[in-house]
Amino acid sequence: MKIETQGTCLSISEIPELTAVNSAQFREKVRTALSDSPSVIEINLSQTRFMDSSGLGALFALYRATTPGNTTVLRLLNPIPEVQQLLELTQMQQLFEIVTR
Amino acid sequence: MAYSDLERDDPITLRLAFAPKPEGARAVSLAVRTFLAESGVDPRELFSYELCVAEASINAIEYAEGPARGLRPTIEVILTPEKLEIRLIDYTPGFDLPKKIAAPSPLDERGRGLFLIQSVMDEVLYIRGRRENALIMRKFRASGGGGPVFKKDAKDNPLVATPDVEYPLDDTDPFQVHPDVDEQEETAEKDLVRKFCWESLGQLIGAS
Repeated sequence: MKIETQGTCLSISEIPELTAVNSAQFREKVRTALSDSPSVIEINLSQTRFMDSSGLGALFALYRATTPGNTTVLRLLNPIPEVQQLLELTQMQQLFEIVTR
Repeated sequence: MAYSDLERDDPITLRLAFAPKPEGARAVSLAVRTFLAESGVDPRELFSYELCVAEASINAIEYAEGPARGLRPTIEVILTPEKLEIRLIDYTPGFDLPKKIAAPSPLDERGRGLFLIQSVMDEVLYIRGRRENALIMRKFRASGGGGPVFKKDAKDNPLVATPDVEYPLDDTDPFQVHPDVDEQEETAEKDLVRKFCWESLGQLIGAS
């Protein structure tokens, strides 16, 4: 997983999968990066071939961590169709801006 | 009925025990995906079955208690032209599975696993036993040599393409769909009892 900060944008990419195995690690790394108070958080899911409910829980934890100020834009980039359907089925797309570029 | 009257049924099967930790659950979900892919299951369906196995497997680990936490859950996959059946044997205290789990709120951090499984599968049963339990997940497939015609946008089941044809039901179909839930559960229980009897018989023969 790669985490970069460009100005006020936090970019997270190279996530092969987000599951019960690595969701805790994902949460921890992202939580550390949130200390810079980014205004935009982009999670590039183009390489994420698999996600389970633990992965969804990790995304929700990120949403919850950023909601108090309610000014941070949360963006999911280029999810594969299966992951997009998973986000829709669980209504998680309501919490994130899903963008295909 | 004489033994010679019985017809041998040879579905494609896979049976794996996995380590009771998240890495074991992940490994078994990947193994089932690979097995189904190599067995000719539509690639568009693989993600959803991998997801069901992942969710069921992680539940089997998370909810085990005491010494049962060290026991290795088992996954069994049975694939025929008519049906995919995935059984997960767990050693948890068990639970009562609701017939239909409502969609969780997007603001819930947990509790999506069984909802996802029910969203994908046609039938989900949970049989509680004294020593072990069985989660049985069934997806009915269209039969016929040409393969099923799949809908691309199944609104009621968006994670998996569903057959666009009726399932033929007749007396020779070993996996006849029972419209009555009680009958389904009864059939599943009979399967388990049958399995137990064969295993006990095998142990008796082995001990003698």
